[in-house]
Amino acid sequence: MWQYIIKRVLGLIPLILVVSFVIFMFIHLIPGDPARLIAGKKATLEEVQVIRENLGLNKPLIEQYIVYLKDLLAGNLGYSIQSGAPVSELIGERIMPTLGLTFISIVWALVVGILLGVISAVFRNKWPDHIGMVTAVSGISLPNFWVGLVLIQLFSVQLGLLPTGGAEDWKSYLMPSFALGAGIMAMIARFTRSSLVNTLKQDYIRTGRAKGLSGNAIVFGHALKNSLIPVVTIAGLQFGFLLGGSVVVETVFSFPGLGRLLIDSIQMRDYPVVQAEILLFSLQFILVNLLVDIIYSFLNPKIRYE
Amino acid sequence: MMDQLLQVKNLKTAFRTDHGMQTVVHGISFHVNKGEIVGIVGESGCGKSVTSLSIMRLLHDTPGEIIDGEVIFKDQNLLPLPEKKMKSYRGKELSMIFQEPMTSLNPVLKIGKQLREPIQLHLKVSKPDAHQHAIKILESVGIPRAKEIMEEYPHQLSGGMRQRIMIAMAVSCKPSLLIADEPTTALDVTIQAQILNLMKDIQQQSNMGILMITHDLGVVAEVCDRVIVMYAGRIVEESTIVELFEKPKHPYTKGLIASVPKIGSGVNRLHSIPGTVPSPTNMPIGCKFAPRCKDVLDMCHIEEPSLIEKDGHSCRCWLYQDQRQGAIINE
Amino acid sequence: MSNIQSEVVTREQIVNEKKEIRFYNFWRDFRKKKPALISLFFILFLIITMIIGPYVVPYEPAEPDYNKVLESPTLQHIFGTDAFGRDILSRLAVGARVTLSVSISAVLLGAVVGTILGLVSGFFGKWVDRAVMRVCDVLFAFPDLILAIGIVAILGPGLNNVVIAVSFFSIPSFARIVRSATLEAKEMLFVEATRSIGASNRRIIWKHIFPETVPTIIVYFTMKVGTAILAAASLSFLGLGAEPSSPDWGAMLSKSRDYIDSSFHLVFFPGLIIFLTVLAFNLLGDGLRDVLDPKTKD
Repeated sequence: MWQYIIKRVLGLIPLILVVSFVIFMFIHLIPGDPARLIAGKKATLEEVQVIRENLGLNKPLIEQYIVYLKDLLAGNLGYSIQSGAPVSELIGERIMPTLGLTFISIVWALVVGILLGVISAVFRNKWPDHIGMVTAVSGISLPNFWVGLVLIQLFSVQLGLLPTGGAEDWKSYLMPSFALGAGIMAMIARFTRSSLVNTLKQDYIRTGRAKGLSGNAIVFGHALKNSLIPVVTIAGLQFGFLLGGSVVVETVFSFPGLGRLLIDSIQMRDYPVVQAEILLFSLQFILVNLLVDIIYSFLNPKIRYE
Repeated sequence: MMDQLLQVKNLKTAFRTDHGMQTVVHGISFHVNKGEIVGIVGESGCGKSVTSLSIMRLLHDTPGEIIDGEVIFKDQNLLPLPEKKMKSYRGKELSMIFQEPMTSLNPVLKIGKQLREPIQLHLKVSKPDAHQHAIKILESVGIPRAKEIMEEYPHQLSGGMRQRIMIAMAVSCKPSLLIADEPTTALDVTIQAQILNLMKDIQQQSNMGILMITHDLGVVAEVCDRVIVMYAGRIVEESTIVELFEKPKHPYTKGLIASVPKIGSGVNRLHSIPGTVPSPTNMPIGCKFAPRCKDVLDMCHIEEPSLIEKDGHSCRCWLYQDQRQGAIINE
Repeated sequence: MSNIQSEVVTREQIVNEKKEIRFYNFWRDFRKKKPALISLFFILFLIITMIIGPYVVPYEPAEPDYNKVLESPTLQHIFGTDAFGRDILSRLAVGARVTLSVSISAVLLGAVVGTILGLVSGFFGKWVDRAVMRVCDVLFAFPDLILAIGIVAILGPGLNNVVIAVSFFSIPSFARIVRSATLEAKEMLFVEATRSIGASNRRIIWKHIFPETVPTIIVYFTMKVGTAILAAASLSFLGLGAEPSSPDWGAMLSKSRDYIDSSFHLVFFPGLIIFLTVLAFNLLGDGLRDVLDPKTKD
């Protein structure tokens, strides 16, 4: 299995290189002179020239890319146009709240989603299934920013229980993580249901029944593990949805995280920050999917024993 | 008269479809004695597998439903039993092995765990005891290095090995009746013979009854004492094995026998019977086999003959019955 | 059926008959899916609104009325009015045109490009397939909305750019799904047969493989429209899509947060209509999938 993991990790290197190249090209794809963009509107011609020299923007693209990669490996993500601070510092300040928010969201979404999916599959075509699946399809269709706004109206404006924004204490995480996780919870519920329903049709389930096992022993002892293997993969893909959603939800709740920083930076044309953030989100997504593959290989004996 | 282990009386099973309930097993009756091997033969779709699942009451995950009849096992009708009670029969008194050894074992659980399950459940023993018991059973079905195999996963084993494990699992609690649904169909020819011999050996040692479901008369000839031939959800002929091969009555049985290749080779199956099994939505009115029968009479298209027994040999065919009174006539 | 000649002659007929039977069977099965059927009517209603909305709305959607600022729902304004005194219902009705045309054209663009890539990749295989799939891998490496935000950051805000951004993340998923449908269709006997008669690749793809992938594409298209509406609305909400003054549903929400204390109807109704529309597309997609693509069901 270690071979499998090493193979997967090595297989990611070309992908990461291509993705980083695409993101490196970001600043060159924006119409206009990159040096001028980085220098900002008020800069003089001389200042622009200095920036061009300093950043090597007059060198060939491929050379610039190699420098960019070297900087990345050294943890240098460039400097903010707005504040002049290192981008890594700006991100460092914002990363913990966002990681916390996404972690809480994915955990509750997985727990509730799997539970709902299992209940629906076990009571297939009966009322718990219908309720579960109506909840799920609604969850998928809900705009997360609207969920956030409705929550604010209910719990902050009407009931006065929770803060409308910020990330001071655990209370300020409740509504954002609910709004962020709802869609993913719904997708995981649907997927768990269909995966479990499919597993329950397999021959080995019939074997289990022929042995005299009870319904619970069949579902929890035999079917769940098999049906969660594909759910793990889907959860990895949904993580991308979560990262995108965090940008929106953080905006709704004025949550001091990376997503909010991204939108602020786009509005202020702070391109180095935007570039670094997109890289960070993409790498995070790639790494989560690697992690998912590794978990998958642990769950699946066919891969584990190769 | 030997002790009857299993008695199936007028069993009717139907499937829910878009066009309403469709009967696939039409009130069949038969029995299996203690220590006897009875075969049920027929083409796919004749209702033989549904019959076996009905006896085990394993139709939950299918659209099937038993609508009438009795399944009397050791003087107890199984059909009205609550599900909980039925569970204590499955795997303990009645066991079943299936056609697909590749998919009938759970791919993510170790063989050991899957073998221990019924032992712990039915024999109420501790996990280590169940483990020892499982190893003993594995050895008894001719599996080498049983201890190691307990720690392995199904995909690490060959089809023949997996079927041996299925058999080990099925006989681990010493059931009185083993239902084997096409146990050798998915296996290589050489392995088929080994598995059949193994089943015969186990049967002789433990004196359990076996209900062997198969489409292959070759398998039947190898192991069975008595044979039931099914067609379109009905029993069309029943007799001892010797009688059936020497004096088959029903034209369908004759066709089956004519199409038997040398044991195991599997090709040219049912070569000599033209046409296909009628679909449940399009059943002939009279004898269900009439459209494919080469000895067909006018009567056959009008009314279905009944199953008539004579000297322990039953047959459902107008050729052997008085068409006016339905009484037996001489051949 | 031993006469090849006659088979060739009747092929067109068979195809036509098959189409009729297919449609009949489709409608017979689809009619039973009540949620999908209701959703279909709701979507038709929205499409009619798109067309005639601007002519039938009770109030001029862009005209401010400073006597009626931020009115809660009343009999005159059943969804209330906004900060400029404009009727929310009228704005939603007119906005259907903006929101739906943006989302549908984005998915359409993504579907066309993705389908071509998928067909080519699945049909030719080998290096073409590998190349297309690697490109998809790269696109998949970006989380959907982040990719869209990045593209809008490059191109600047505006509805046209939203269409491009949203279409971008539909491309790889369409390519993958059409590719596997193509591989399946390629396996079918008649494609081999046509190839042996000597039909050109383009003809085989267009006449024989593409029609087989259409049900899959329809199902996936319907489901993706829901996702696209959410994505486009999110971009507008973030101020990266439609102009704040536009009656686009997402844009209507983006300013409403400021009034959440006093005028919740400003938040509630635009969000509700987005939710219902996305729900309708998802339910319709589910129903279509059950009927057209039953192997992916459960």
